[in-house]
Amino acid sequence: MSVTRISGPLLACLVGLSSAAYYGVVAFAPGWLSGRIAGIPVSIAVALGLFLLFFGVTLLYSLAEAADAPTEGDPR
Amino acid sequence: MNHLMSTAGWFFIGFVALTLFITLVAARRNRSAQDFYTAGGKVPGWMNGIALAGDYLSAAAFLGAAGMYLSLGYDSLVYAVGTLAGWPLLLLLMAEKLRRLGRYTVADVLAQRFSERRVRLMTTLSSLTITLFYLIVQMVGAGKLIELLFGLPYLDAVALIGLLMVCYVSLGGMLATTWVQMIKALLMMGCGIALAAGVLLHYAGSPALLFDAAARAAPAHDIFLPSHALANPVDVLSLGLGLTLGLLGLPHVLMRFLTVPDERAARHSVAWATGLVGLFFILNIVLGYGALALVSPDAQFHDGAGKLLGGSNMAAIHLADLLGGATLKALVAAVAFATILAVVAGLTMAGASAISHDLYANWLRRGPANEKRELAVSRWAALGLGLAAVLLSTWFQNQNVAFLLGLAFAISASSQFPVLLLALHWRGLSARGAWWGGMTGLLAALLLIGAGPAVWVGVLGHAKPLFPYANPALFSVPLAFLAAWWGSLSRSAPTTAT
Repeated sequence: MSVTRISGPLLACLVGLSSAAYYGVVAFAPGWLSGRIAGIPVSIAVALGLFLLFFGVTLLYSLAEAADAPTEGDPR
Repeated sequence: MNHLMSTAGWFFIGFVALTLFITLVAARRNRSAQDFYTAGGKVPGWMNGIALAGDYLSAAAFLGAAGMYLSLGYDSLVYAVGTLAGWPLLLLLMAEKLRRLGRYTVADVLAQRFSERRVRLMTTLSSLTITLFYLIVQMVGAGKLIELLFGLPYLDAVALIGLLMVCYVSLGGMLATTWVQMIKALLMMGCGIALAAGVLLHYAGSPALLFDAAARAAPAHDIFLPSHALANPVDVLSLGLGLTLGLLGLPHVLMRFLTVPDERAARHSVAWATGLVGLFFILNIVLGYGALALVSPDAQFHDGAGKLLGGSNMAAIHLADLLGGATLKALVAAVAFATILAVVAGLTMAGASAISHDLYANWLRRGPANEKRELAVSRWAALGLGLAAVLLSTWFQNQNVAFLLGLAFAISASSQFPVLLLALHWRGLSARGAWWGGMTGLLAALLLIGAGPAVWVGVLGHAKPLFPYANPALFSVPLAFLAAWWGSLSRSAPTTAT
């Protein structure tokens, strides 16, 4: 599995935006989370989907070999 | 009750004996300051990942989350989403660089860029504030648990916890803390699986039937949607921001990246931790709605006024009682106790290191101190932190621990996180910007929490808060970034050691 270095910021954006979107819905349109899918409340299914996304991103990046090299432009 | 006390008592004593033994073994292996602060930097990634999960899954995750499902329904899951989102961000933005730049503490990472003493002082103050607030959360959970099970007065209960935590940290250092965290994380996971299985078996293995039963138990409101407590959009966004970013500034979590041998191990640590924490949050959904469906309608767990015995934080304990009787209740209580004890040890380790290594050795003594003296200071610092946490926790003893944890995350997101993120990723940050950003975020978060509903109304007893929102992060985090940017722009002197 190969994840290039540029994936890091992109993945961070993906996680940040997903989290922001979720809290945006909870804040402004909680009604969108009502209803059920196969007996499971939509609100819970959405949260589970986000859990999966967060774990998936972490697993993908942690398995990447490319990220082993020192970061260019390290502000140190 | 007597049976319960004796069973729970034996579990408690067993865990304490085991962990004290581990501490003594670890103490023999500690030969240098590096061993004491970072377990020699030799902890494998998977072990560190389990310990990270142990550090993170605190009283709030176990007792507070189930209690929040019982009292506010879906809100508990809203908390969980934000806190889990922090893990991939921690990996992507910080973990590897922390490992590369850090030595013993978070302040060491900043010291790689800024030699000014005030930057180290700011980071230390910030670390200590977060640690103390987080310790209070754990103490409240522990005090209530022991009070409920053994009838010990709250202050005696938290004093007992304080004494044990001082023993772990002052004797065993980071290695003992790591081992204790691992044992506790695995015990907690086993307990969560057993309880969740018990709940699901009660509903023929069907989550849908469980959710139906939970909905029937609380017909007054929709327990699968955010409650009235999350009705204000500003409060929700503030909570989400604080929870998501708070993890990235927690000193006891960040310190764990200094215990692994390399960056690859740091990455693997986060993957393990995210998987375990996520799994526990899923178990919590079953436990929480299980408590709502089973404990909520059962009169034996409520007092005359209809309030849950021991408060909402005891929902998981009552659920265990209902599913497995006194023995399971005692086991779960002992694991909850172990959870608190282990987290408290990790927190104390971070706080004591900040005092001995950052405040004493590098700030006060202006350079490397005698190693033995530095470690002695660390041990006294552990004692001081324990005492402070015990006394302060009495103010907050009636608040939900998950809510209190949200405030600790907000302080972390406002003070430590902005400075660390900018220091690791922005060349333009100056020492002055770091100082301004950190202090602004810390003071803003503390002032807004003090003027908000939790302290102004909940602790000080005023009728209305000065600051209307429960969580300050939406205001304090941007303020910290703005101050760091402004301070860096207006720098006039080069960064030099003072």
